[in-house]
Amino acid sequence: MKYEISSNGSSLECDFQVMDEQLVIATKLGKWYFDAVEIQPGIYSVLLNQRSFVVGICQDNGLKANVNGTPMMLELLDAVHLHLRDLGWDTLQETKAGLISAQIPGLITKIFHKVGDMVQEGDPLFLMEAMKMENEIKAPLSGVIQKISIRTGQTVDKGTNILEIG
Amino acid sequence: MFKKILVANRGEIALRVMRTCREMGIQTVAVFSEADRAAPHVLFADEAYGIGPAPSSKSYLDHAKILQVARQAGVDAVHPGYGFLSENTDFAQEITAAGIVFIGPPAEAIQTMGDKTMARQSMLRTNVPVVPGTEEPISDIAKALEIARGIGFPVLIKAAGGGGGKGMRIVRSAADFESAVAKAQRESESAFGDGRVYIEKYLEEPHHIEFQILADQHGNVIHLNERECSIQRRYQKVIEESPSPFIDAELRERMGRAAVATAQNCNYVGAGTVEFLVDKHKQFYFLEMNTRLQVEHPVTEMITGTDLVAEQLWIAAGAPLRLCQTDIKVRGHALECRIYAEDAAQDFSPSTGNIKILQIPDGPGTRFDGAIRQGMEITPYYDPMLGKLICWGPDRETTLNRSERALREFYIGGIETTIQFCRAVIQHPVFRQGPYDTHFYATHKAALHTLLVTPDPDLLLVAGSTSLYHTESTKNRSHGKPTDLESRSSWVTVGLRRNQR
Repeated sequence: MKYEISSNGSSLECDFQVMDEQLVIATKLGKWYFDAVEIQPGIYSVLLNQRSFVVGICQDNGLKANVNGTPMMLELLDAVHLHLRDLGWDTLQETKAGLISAQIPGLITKIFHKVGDMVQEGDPLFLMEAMKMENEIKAPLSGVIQKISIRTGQTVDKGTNILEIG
Repeated sequence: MFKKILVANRGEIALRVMRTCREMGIQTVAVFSEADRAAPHVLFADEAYGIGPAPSSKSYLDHAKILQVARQAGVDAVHPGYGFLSENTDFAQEITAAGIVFIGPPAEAIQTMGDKTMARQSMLRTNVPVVPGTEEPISDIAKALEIARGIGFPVLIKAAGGGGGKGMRIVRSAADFESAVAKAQRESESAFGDGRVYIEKYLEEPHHIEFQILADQHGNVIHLNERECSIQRRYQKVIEESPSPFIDAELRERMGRAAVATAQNCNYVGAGTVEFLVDKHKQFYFLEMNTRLQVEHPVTEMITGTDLVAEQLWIAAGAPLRLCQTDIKVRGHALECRIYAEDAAQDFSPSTGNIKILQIPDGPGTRFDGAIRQGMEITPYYDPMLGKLICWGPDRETTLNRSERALREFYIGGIETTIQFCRAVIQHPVFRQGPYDTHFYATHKAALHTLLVTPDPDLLLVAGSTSLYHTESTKNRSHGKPTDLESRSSWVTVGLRRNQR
């Protein structure tokens, strides 16, 4: 079965096979024998053509891996999704660029605008206090504030929608 | 020596202090907020008392509750750690008035050095140079702007009552001055309950170099050499090392004397740190004095073979210094990496969540001072520092290689951390070479972030195949035994069967 592995702009096509009870990965660069043992939940000892790796896998806002101390965000696309993508369907959910949500939990200390205000990219939108620091959240794009879902003094959780620029 | 000590803090520093107490046969008392009932410092202590809700203003900063616990538990001393109440004059006085020893300097020294304006004024009595700036906090914005023009832009706006970069702003032009002052005042008001800020000259290619000092109650003061703290982001230190690759023996000697003079000038007692800025001409200026144990104190412990907490306890108990200046020898090189729950790729914004996976490095010359464990929740209530990795080696190169090795072993899954960022700094040729200034991060930001995301094809292959293996095997497990050997799972099923043999 074919997969595409990608991380941060680089990607690799792999064919995962079973040969003589051995797990084999074929890529355009060659063939690898793969052997994995889960040594504790989420941590694997991996031998790839006898090269030894310690790999951590964590599902947390997406798939994250850590190989010998190097962390990376991963995306795995299987054959079906690869095919759909070739047909021009992006099956991954599209995020609305103008929707600003809280990246971290915190306290909203000041909102600089009201609904209907025009903002330029980089303009300060609001101040948020988290872990004793005041963070200024800037507009990721220019546009008109369509909606403000919070008020000053409100504590928000991670992921809470704050405002929308259209 | 004391029989029982209350540690009025949490996290790694509470644990650090308690470890020495236990080694010295002293009973330990922890205090905790509702969010910290099962925190590592509670587990370690001999006794633990709840002191209120999660926000620190209602628990770790509540003088009355902590004093009440100190009385109830019958302690003979209180160690404040760093942060929280460690530099609070009122707290020190209240503890002392209750007949309990405050492990720190006398309240007057905290007051003088804790207030940056007062500290500057008191330094005029010594011949230690200070950075040009305002003597009084800013009250009249027009007058302040005039002073800033006199000093010359860029200038720095700093909180009178704080530290750690909170309430601090660089202003490059007169046009930005007023808004920057307002912002610094707001931030310092919310962080320290004190909105006063002042202005000082912004130095070119500055190095942030500090000296550890120890002073006893009998007038003896020594210094334990410097720590180079120029690797910072948002004015907060990330990596510290000693000896500094920038300063030579002659400068060390002069700065050490200035540090001792600073401590003597304010009748200092205990462990303290005198911070200097050193410009590219090796001119040094007094910056501030931290009247407490520093986060980065282990760097000094490693190269001098001392236990600074033990020395603090002996000093507080009235003993004369157990070391004299000639006993302080530099042995090798030490480097500390601060591991923060922060996302370096997102401008170091705090990262909260559950520590799902944890592997702490060990091996030769490797020390981790932390307070974390697997399954622990990192909440937004407190400082995002998870712990400190300190490596020691016979020379700087060995220490850097060792730090890199240890950082590679370090794995925290579930939250973002600065582990990888520290690795990128240590790999950077400018850092490797030696002298670097406080602009290091800003100057090399792009290169550091490239190092952070290098997608090596080999690692990508390993990561991808293991994550496929992981998701498929978890899927099989949650569906009971693998009944349906559809093609996509069979790749994994073979592997699982092999492992069961």
